This record gives sequence, structure tokens and C-alpha cells, in this order.
Amino acid sequence: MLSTLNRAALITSAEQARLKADARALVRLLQGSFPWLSISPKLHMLFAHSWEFMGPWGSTGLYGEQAIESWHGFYNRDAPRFTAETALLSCRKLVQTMALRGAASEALRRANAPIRKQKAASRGALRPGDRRLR
Amino acid sequence: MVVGGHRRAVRVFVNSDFLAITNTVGHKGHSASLPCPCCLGMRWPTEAHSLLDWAFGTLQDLDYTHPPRTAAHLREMQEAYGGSGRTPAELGLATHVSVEPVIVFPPSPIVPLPLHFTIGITARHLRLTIEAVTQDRGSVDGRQFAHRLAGTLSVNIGVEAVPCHGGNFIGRHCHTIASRCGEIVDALHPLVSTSRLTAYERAWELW
Repeated sequence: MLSTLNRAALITSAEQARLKADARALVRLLQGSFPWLSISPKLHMLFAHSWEFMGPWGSTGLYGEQAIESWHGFYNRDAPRFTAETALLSCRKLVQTMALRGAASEALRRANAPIRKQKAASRGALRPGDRRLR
Repeated sequence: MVVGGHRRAVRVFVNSDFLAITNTVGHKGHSASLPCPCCLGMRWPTEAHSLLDWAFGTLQDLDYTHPPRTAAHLREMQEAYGGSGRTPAELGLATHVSVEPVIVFPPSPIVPLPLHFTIGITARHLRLTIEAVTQDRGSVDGRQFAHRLAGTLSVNIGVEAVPCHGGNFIGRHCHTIASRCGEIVDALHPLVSTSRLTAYERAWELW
């Protein structure tokens, strides 16, 4: 299940059917063998909804939240700059700033610039004082 | 949506962590009475909400098909919380939602959190070993096994928990744990009953 859920590729219908069967088997097994375990909302979503999403869209890994998770770092680092009355307004300020910065940032300009070939140069140390080891 | 001066059709996928998704549809995530953002299912069977349990079923009942949340229902909640017309309490919506939904959409574009499943369910598998030992042999052995499990994960499997993700393992480490789960099963072997060990091993195989 782990690879089916996370793989950034279209999943075949046979594998989707196996995910559905395995998810159901896992949750039933856990509930049957470990009676104190409660079905958490995440286990419920795995059991009942993960394969439902995969049916029409063909994958969950392609739509996964890995990319958006990296925004936590940006937000935590620059949180004082985005203070607002509510958390939602604060997030909106962050997203607006990111969108405006993304349009004209130096990093983006560099990323979109054509790649220039480097001149072939000697990599070895030429003189004792040129601060190269080899 | 207008892109470069042209109006284009776009499809919105709702994607983040569980709390963010549930806040978007207007309730408080895991602690809500109806925690699932896709369907109406009660978290636990309780006496106080026996009528709702009867109407919607609980997440603990795996054979029950819960009624899905709908965009029309969300719109009704948004209007009620927005102050137009009747209040949420009058409409009986206060148990479905705690705050005004941010966006109105049907449950079909909610992405079922593959990364958070990976992290959360791997952690649940690990916690289950400690609970099983505690259940079979008592709390002292359970605590000792917790230390042993930490050692197995760190030394034998080579993964460390991180402060982000709530002290859990990062996604890549969850894959490592799943592929080397035999180390955990070996550590658990002398401490729990054979049937429970077999079930635990099968759970890793399915996961």
C-alpha cells in the first residue's frame, strides 16, 4: 500500500483494486487483533476514501502534499512578517507575498536563464599558493 | 480563473494536512464529533449523541456506509454561519461544523493525504508494539520495550525521529522502517502471543 499511495504515477486499475482490498484487510486485521485500537480519522480515510479518490484521478502520489509541506519552513522562518488577526489572514499574506516574489525574484530569474557552458579549465593545482589541494 | 488575460477552467484539489483540510470544510479535525471531511460519520458511539450515531454510524463500525458530505450541505452551513437567515443551532448544524467553511466544494477533490498517512500509520504501527507488550506483560515490560524499540530503530534500522512532523519519522524513513520491519518483529517475538505477533507481521506486509 505504501508504494501505491505515494508513487507519483498513474496507478493501474488492478493495483487500485489491490489497494482497496489491502486497506480494508489492514484495518479489519488491526481492529480484530488489537481490540483496544480505535479507528482514527486517518485510518478511516485510508479504509474508506483513499481508493475513492484514486478511481477518477488515477493516483494519490501525483496529488500528494509533499510540496506544500516545504512551505512550513518558509512560514515558520518568516512568521513575524505575516502576523494578522487570524491564522487564515496570516496565511493569505504569506501566499500573496510568495506569489509576488515568485514573479520577479532573483532565484526565479536565475532558474529561467539559459544554461551557459563553463569554459574548460585546469582543475589541478598549478602553484603551491593557489589554495587547491589537487 | 483568469490566466494571462484569458479565462480558463481550473480544477481545485484540496490538499494539505488533516487539520487544514477539516478547517477548510468547517470543523476542528480529529476532535470534532464528525471528523471525516468526506463523509458524515461519528467518531465514537456515545450516549449523548446516540441519535446522531444511529443516523450516521460511527467510524468504528467498518461495515457501515456513511452518508457523504455534499457541496449543498456546506453551502447551507456557510450561509448559516455567515449570518444570512437561520443560525447553525436552529438548523442543527452545530455538531457538523464548528466554524464557517472557507470554500464550498464536494468531497471528491479532497486529496487523501498520502504523506500524512505514511507518517501517521507508520507511527501507529510502532506504538501498537508497545501497547501489545503492555497488554500482554504489564506496564514495566511495556516501558522497557519502548526503550528497546527506540534502540532497534536507531541502531538496527538507522532512522531517527525528527522534531517536525510531531516527533515522528520523515516519509523516507517510514519507507525504510516498512522495508526492515523484520527487526521490529524479531524484537517483539519473545514478548507477545504468537497470534498477536502473526497479526502484527501481517499488518506490516499489508502496509
